[in-house]
Amino acid sequence: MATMRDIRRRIRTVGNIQQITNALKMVASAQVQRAQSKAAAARPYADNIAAVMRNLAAAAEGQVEHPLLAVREPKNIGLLVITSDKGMAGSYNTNVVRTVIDTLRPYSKDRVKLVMLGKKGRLFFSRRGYNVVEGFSMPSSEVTFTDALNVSNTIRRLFEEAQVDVVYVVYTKFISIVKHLVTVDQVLPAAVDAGEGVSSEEYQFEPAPEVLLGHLLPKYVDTQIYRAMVESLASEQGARMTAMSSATDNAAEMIERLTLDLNRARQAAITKELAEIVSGAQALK
Amino acid sequence: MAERTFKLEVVTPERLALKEEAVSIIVPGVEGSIGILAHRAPIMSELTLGQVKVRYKEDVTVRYAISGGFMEAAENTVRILADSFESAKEIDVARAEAALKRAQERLAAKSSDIDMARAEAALRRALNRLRVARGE
Repeated sequence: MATMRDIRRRIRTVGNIQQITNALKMVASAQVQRAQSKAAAARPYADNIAAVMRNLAAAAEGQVEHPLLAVREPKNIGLLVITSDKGMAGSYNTNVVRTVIDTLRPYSKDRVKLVMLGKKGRLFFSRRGYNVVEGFSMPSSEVTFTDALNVSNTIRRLFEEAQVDVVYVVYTKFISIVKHLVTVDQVLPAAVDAGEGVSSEEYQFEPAPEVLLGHLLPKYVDTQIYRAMVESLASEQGARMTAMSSATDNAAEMIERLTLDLNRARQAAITKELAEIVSGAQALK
Repeated sequence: MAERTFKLEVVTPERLALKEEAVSIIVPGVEGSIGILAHRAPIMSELTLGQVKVRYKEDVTVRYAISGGFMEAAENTVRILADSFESAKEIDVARAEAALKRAQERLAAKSSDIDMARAEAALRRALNRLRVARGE
């Protein structure tokens, strides 16, 4: 049986851990609010650029040729994987990694090129012999559009140089603070559907629609990546908050149980001592 | 008679910058400035670095700095997808001046071609912001 000293030491340890998890929980819950409103703020631009693209594509009537639209046989595939730099976020990174492995199952390793955002995923895949062509660190408190631009430039270059024939992004969609969904979206070749929601009005274009579309396309890709990053960060913070909150609760529960054990041990010690005194006194009679 | 207005919506990648009723707007198109009034025939244009002048109801004109983007006008709505978009009040003059100085130093140092192009673009953006902030 554990001695009282052992139990006291354990209580202290668990208490210290609880302090840390509680602090992490507070930080995450403050940041998740900000990340969430940032994700919401990114939506109007993304929706608008998609709408403008549709109108343009309809006006250009498929006469557009652009390197980012080139459909090739998918021999080499590229994957942008968004994980976090820091851990302590429950199953957040594990879920992303598992989805990536499932997605890559039909492909042999030499046909896959990975661009990693976030240290956790980068370490996992480079240790397992995947071809990680580029690794970025994932901002932990705020994503700026410039961060997304750096990533997007790399991806567009890989695609334009035909090093990869199709690019997907694996990120975690933010649905609510406790609900996140790992999502795989195709980024390149950019899919522009001219079909739905097109206003039939005759537009005047400056410059010509093909030129406009050519300039708009890279931005469209940037926006998609920015959005994936913002959503992922919000999910990361949400996951961390939930994980740390339950860790704090578990620690409290453990302290309670250990305190009970401690009291029991103390009681037993007192009883034992009393019995010894009584039997000692009896023996003297 | 009340002036005829149109809906103006400006979005940047990071936020919804503006959603207002406006009477007229002048934007820097790549092929020259474009002025727009209510019920304009549909137009789509690429925008360049420069100033956007918006006249609201009650004769208030506000100037904004824009660093390029796209504009779509249709169905009495003008949508601008801007790379960045700030009103004179929102511009951080100290930051723009610092950026200007940095860009000038970089141009004076003459490093590789890419850096030069970037420094030049940064210089233009800083100058544009300062111009708008000073109301020139």
